[in-house]
Amino acid sequence: MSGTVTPPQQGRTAPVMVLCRQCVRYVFEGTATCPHCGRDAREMSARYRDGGYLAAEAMLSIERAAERRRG
Amino acid sequence: MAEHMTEDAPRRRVSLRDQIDCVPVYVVWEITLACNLKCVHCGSRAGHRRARELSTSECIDVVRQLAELGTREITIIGGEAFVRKDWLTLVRAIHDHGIDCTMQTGGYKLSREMIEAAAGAGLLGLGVSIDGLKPLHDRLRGVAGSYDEAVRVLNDCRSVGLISSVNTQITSTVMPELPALMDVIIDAGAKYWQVQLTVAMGNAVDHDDILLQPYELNTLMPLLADLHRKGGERDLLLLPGNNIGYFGPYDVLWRGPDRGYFGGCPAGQNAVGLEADGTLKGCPSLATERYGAGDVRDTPIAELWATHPALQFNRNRGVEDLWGFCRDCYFAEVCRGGCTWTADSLLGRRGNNPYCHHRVLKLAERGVRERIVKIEDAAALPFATGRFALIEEPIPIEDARA
Repeated sequence: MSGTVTPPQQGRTAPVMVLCRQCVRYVFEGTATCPHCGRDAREMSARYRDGGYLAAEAMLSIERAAERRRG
Repeated sequence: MAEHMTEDAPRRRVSLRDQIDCVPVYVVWEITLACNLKCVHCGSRAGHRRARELSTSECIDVVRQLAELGTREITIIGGEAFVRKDWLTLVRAIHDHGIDCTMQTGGYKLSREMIEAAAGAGLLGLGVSIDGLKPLHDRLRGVAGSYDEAVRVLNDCRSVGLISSVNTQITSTVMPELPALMDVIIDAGAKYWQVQLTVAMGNAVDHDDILLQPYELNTLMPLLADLHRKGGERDLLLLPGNNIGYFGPYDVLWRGPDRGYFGGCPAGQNAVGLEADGTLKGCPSLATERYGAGDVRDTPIAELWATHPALQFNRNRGVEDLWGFCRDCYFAEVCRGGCTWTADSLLGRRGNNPYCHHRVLKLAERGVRERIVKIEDAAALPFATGRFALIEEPIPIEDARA
């Protein structure tokens, strides 16, 4: 069996989601009012800051940026 | 198989580049349909080997082709993979092509010597199926003593130094047993525990009483969240299978923020399934009738991968084939109806998945819930689906109070 590699068609990537900084559920990037809790999704809550989510968010941003550069 | 077989960045983790380039990163390969268990939930109705299973040399050529396409992990399954006489040859071939090899097993009659030999051949990790405590597991797996064997295999993995994980089917009666099962798993040395809902396919259609009702996710998800927290304190990582979801209040526990959210079914974009007779699919569990993409004996995998419609359906998929609740869901564009296998097997068409925690919660706000009812049996074939009706009904007053 021979294997001539044909490049497959380009695939889609999922839209970017971030966590609501109030209720910690996913919302689309840039969302102002969280559709789940109704509060300001961008305003930092103690739960978000102290639960390690802020640190994880920073790490994820760095990873995404690095991936985009590589891509 | 566990998501994180090595440290916290498994090679099969899919990057943006992988998604754009449609790299078949992860392959689940049924190397035989022969099996020594008689599971009442088996979607492939395993038992006897298929009529035309790939030969050893054909299998090794498959490995070579997958390596050329960029595959980074292959999980061999069955039936029962080790029933096939050349299984260690295949493990070694996968390893020698630079691909991580893992295996999913029921563990029945898998001796310590065989585990040692597999580790020596390059097996990176072993996933063992345990579906409840002894009476429930043995009943579901159809063989007395299969539970003891599965736990023994976990202990043997630990003594051999092979990473082990546990895969548990969530059936209608297992929930009360999960905390005690977690203790057993931890004591036996497993580091990862993947749970997935039993899907309405094959034998599970014949025994539809074992299927969870969609509204029961309201009980299951908080329980899994609790187990995830408690397991984490004891060095056990509970991981959701692809049909545990989606975007509910606990998703952040097991899918993020550092591991990423559910970005849609990866079948045919970064995941591949292969049946023992050479039939290629986007996911090993999808109905062969609707998703089989042809025989790897007849056409190079690269050609099937690049051109066959049965493998292409997810690659540029938007929301156009979503229907029912999923069509208008806030998460539609990302989630795209969750697990294709679960939705398609249940309702005969992908794009509307009642097994979704977000959906259950939204429906509950309206005082309603969904229940499935079988209306047509499945054919006596591997990966055959039946037909189920989806009933929307008011939440009973006693349940609403609870």
